[in-house]
Amino acid sequence: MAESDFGEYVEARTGALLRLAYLLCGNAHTAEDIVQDALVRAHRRWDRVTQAGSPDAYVRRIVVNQHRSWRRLRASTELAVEPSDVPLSAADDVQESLAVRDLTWRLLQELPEQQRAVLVLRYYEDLSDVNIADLLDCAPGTVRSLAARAFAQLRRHPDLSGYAAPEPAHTTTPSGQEETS
Amino acid sequence: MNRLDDLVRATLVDRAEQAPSPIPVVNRVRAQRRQPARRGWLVAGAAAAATAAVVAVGITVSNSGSGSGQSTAVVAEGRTAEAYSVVLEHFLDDSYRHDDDGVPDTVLVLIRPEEDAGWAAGRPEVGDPIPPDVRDAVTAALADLTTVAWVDRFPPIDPGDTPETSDPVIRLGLLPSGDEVNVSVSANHGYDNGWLKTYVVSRDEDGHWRVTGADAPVGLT
Repeated sequence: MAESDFGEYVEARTGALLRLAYLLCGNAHTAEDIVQDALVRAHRRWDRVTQAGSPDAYVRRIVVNQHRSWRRLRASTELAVEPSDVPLSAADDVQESLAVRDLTWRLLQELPEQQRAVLVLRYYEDLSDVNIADLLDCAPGTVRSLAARAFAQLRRHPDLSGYAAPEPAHTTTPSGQEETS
Repeated sequence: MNRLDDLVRATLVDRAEQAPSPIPVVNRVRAQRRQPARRGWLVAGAAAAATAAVVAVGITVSNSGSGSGQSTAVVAEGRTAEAYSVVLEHFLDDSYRHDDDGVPDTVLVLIRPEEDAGWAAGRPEVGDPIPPDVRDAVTAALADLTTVAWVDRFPPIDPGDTPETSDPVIRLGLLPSGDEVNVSVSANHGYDNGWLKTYVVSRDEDGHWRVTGADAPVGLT
């Protein structure tokens, strides 16, 4: 096993993996646990991971799967987060911007795990729907459907209802034709 | 009109900055400790005293005509004792600070360090043992925190063993030469609880060893 390669990978990519895990789970300590567990699992199969050619994709998949396992484990003990009822209209621009993002973050945490994962992977990791589908082991159409449902859920909140619908996400089919959701 | 996907993207980018950092683990832990000053001074003091005791033995040996080489070796043992003491103290603090019961009353530490304790699990213990004087010094340095029991071999672990029914077993990595070195350390506590960390250990201006950071890899099983 190329220990030095693995060490270099850990050194280079742990920060990015921690950010991804944190956005998925919303908790710093859990994010650390998820990433550590993912790296330990990746280390056990590092030869195969590197032979496959894309260690980042492999480890990212483990992180997402670990998050899903963690969510299932914790589902029975999680407390629902109450949506913010603080009116935003009275705030100035900066405060409003912070308050809206805070509200959006809380609403993102309330989304079902697959919907949230799609938004994080699409808008933070900048992955295509095809890549997200591969990572989540579903069809690209399912990814678009999950995203649409997530946005619909977000727009149900009165403070976000005035935001315009997102632009259609572009993706490329295996035949090379461009699709829009 | 603002778009909702732009808001989601901005929110995620904004929040990602609050994700945990991969490197300054120790610094963050130090800031959160409940009684950092008292226990930190006690451990540092005990380590320094133990080091001084070991060095004093070296002076005695040197004066008896055994030569400066042996004295140098004993000074090196003092360095090893202090460095291992601070590493173990940090590792135990990192590992058990969230436990209601805190650090276990007894920890088992393998006499033989591995080149890299993090990846050594399951290997036979074949390295050179830590000298008895160093072990005694480390034991004394950590006496305020826990009882260190040095063991020659990794004890058998049964599938039913849990942290409540067993003592943690700790494996130290080798201490390289130099004034700023990486030292790995790993532990098993029960059948399915294992973790590893690598610390950056540096000698300060006063000649004392301090853990000044953590380095990859860190792991948890």
